[in-house]
Amino acid sequence: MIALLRTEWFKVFTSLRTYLTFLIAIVLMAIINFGLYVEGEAILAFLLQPLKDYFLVEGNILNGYLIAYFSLNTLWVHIPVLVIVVSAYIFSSEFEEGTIKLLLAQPIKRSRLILAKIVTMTGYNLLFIVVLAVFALVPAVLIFGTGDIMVLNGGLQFLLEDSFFWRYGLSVLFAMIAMTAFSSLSMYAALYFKDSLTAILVSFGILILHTLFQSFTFEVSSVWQNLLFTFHMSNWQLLFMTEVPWDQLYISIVFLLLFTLLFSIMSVLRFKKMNIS
Amino acid sequence: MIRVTDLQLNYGAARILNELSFEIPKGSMMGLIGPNGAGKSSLIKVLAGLVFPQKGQLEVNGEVTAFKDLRQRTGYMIDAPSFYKQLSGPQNLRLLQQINEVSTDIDSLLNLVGLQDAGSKKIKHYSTGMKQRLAIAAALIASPEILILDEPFNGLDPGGYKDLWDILTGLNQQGITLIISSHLLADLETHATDFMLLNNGCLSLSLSKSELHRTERLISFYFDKEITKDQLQLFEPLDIREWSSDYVQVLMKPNAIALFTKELLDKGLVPVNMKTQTILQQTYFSLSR
Repeated sequence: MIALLRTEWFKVFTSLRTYLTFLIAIVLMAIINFGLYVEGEAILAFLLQPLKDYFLVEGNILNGYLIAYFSLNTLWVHIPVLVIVVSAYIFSSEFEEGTIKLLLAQPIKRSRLILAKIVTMTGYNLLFIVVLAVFALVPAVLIFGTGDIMVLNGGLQFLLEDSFFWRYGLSVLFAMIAMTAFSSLSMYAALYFKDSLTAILVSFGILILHTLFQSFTFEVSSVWQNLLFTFHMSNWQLLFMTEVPWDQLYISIVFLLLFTLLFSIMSVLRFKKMNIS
Repeated sequence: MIRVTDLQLNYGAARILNELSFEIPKGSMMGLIGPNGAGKSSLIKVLAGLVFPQKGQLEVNGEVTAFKDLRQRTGYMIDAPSFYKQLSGPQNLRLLQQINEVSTDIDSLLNLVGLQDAGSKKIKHYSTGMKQRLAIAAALIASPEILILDEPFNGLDPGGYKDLWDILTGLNQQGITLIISSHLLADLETHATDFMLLNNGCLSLSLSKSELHRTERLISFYFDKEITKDQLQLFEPLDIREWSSDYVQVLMKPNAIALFTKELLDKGLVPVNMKTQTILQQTYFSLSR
């Protein structure tokens, strides 16, 4: 198993696609920082306009912590897309390039091979989110400094500077779970279609569809929402509420873990029975 | 000895291999022949554990073995060789070495297949011939007892083609059992020790080289002038299959060919060309029509 993991890891980190996704994520963070550096004050002034009569705002509101929070909002769509690209690649590229036959002709168990791939994919996700978190926070703090944060998240939330690190840290952990859930979906799509482009399109389509359903406001939507993985994926934002609704957060974590487990089991079963013709 | 009994493989409603039974002697070089769609590649994929048959039993040296477990003692070259393009040849081999947890000498393997000078060249820059050679090296990575090769000569130039036969013959002489699927009948007849001809997923013909040498051949004699009635009488004791004014096709035992040709020459009937078809070629061409 260790040998398989080493080879899978080696393959991922000798692929240009892996580095491109890291580069895109870093560029994305740089653009957010640059945009807010240039126009942040004006945007903030506009947003705070209605509150001017009620609040006396003092100190550095446009600080690195607020920008890191803002950067985490890329977890809605941008980052999942990058995650899909690599997750789908880990699986379907082997089919597209025919190397799956080279691998399966070796005396290794299929279940071990796919487990090695799942672990590699998860490892990649964790690393990717860590890199993202570092590049979202460190440059922002260096450029904009630190301070209390004020975010519009289910109402206006005022969060003390001291509480930022545990909130941000837990958000990053939550993002790891969410992205792993999402990549398990794209892994199954890749095994089903054996083609990375189709797998990426299908996974992205499901993401868009779920996001759309989530935005519906009609009666039944609240029932549906609990079944939409995008709803649970976005619940990292609960950590940026003055009073964190932990119960809701735990439900989302359990949902995402079960989602990952379900698609992983489905992928293992499918791969074990699959004819490679 | 590999013994396969009642092997059946379906893809959906299509039956690809139909109650196929055969034996491959240990240390032999089995030529697997058949027209396109006969089921050769599918049979190889079953033996490689890539596809799962609906029915069938496999015995290796008298022991019943699952088809997927044949991989423990076999090296494969399946379809067009595919490798990780972003890696070099030696890196690809090292990857397989790690997966198999063996300590094979990569340099010796590269030397064996003539890729010692490929160095750090990435696979995407390899020629077809180089990929074929690397595929042989990959198949040998875990020192297998059996080597199964699907169309190993595709895309090779004459030099590479001869080199590959030399490599395969050498491996067979070391005791490795080889199963080679190919359309190159004449070469297989020269090098292989046993033959299996598939058609529509069934075994059409199975014979050893010595049996092949004993069976009658279809000989076509071509002449540069019209044959007289007297001259045609020379062929009458034989089984004449076809004839025209300057051409006669007969069926005859291999050991009679030389004597009969001498007789023709003695009577002043000099063929300008002669073509020989073994039973294997006759069956193959009749199936391909």
